[in-house]
Amino acid sequence: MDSPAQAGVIALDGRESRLDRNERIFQSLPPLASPEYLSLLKSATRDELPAGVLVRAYRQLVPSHAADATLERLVDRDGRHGYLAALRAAARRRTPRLGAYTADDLVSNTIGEIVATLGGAKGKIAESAWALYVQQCMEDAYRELVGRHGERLGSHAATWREPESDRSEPMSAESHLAALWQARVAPSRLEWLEHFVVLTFAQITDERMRAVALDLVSHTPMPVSSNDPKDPNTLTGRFGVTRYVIYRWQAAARALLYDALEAQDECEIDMSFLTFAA
Amino acid sequence: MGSMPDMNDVPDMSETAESAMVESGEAKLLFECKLEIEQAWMSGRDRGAVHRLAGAHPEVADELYEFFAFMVETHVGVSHQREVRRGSELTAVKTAKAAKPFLGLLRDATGESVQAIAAAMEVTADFLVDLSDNGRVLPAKAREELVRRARGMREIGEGEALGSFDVVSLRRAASRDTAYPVSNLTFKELVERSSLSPEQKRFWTGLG
Repeated sequence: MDSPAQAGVIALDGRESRLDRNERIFQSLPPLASPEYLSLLKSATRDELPAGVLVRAYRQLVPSHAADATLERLVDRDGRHGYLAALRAAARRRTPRLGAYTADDLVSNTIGEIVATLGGAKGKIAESAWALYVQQCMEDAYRELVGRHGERLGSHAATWREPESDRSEPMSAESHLAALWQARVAPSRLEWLEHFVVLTFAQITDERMRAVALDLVSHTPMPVSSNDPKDPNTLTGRFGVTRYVIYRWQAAARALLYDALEAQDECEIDMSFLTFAA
Repeated sequence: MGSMPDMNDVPDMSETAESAMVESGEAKLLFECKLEIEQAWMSGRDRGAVHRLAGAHPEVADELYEFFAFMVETHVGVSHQREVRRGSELTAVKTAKAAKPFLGLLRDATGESVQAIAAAMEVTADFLVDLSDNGRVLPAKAREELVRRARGMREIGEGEALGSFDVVSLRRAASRDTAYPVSNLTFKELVERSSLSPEQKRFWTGLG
């Protein structure tokens, strides 16, 4: 039987599904609550112990030091393993800059929601849909903070979703994606990559989002915004949305491209141009 | 909506769990679409579910694509990789005098000799010294493999260890009056000139 470490390496090389990989890693774990398991919790990388595996282990453990250690690793308070990296980013976008609370408050309350529910009925879904579970916990924590209809948000607070907040957020560097891949991808791969990107983004069903995605990888990207919100030479002016919507679409495009590149086996591509973007 | 997940194929889904998380009809639709997207993606059977569901429900397409990005970030950790790399670079720049190259980091963490560390990591001592001195030529996969092996010996910070491969040149550059000459050494050459066995050389060059 593969050790969890070996299992992680094999999974990276093969086309095994993440669900199957989680199953194999779980089956190769040392006995839960054993010293070997506790040691593994300290030393394994994230690929060797995916969130779904930890959730399943936690839900099978009786209250114990091993259960606490499993949960502690999963909620990743110091951000070492990245199980909640997307939550932290989402909280930063969600939190009102002038509100009574911070992104850390939202992350902290979301972790509290996870700790409170992971072992119960609500936590069952986390084994197979960890991202959905985390997002739902964040929504619950957010409502708890601001009220169901935002009544505790404060009249002076503004979130990234609101047009009036479209002023002081730092500009995104997403527009430079094409320049990044020019610098990082081997020249012999560029033509293949450009065709691949076009085919990948062609699947996006929303016309405006598709146009923004293609602009993201254009050699002459359009500025996201300018002082004139109706400037037709900017993405915000062209599509009539705030730049935060543009950023959201760009983030989705980047995720789609990352996922498509990871799934293909036609051509070996250095994907660091995506991990360095934004 | 397109085909919803067959509940018989979704052992982790339960009505109890669902009802605990959703309330309104719209929230229920979003929840079900997101669930289908993530479980299809996790099982590898339909990576394009987000496009299909966004096409079937254009009124929530924005939320579904946003969730897809959140999901990929959560499972793949693109932003986490970015933060680790940025953190490594910042740490290397800010603490260039105090930072240690990979081997120095391991010696501090373990208190072991170079030979003992190399043996524990299943490489030769000369290879370990050479790669630590020329860390910048190491490709990402080789760095990650070395850090993985090092973490098997002793608990060390992943970001700090990954960043340690960039430390040597920074320190050398800081101590010189002129720019440090650019080395043409490649990772493959570094592997080939080591005393690793042919099998080990094949493994390491395969990471290049």
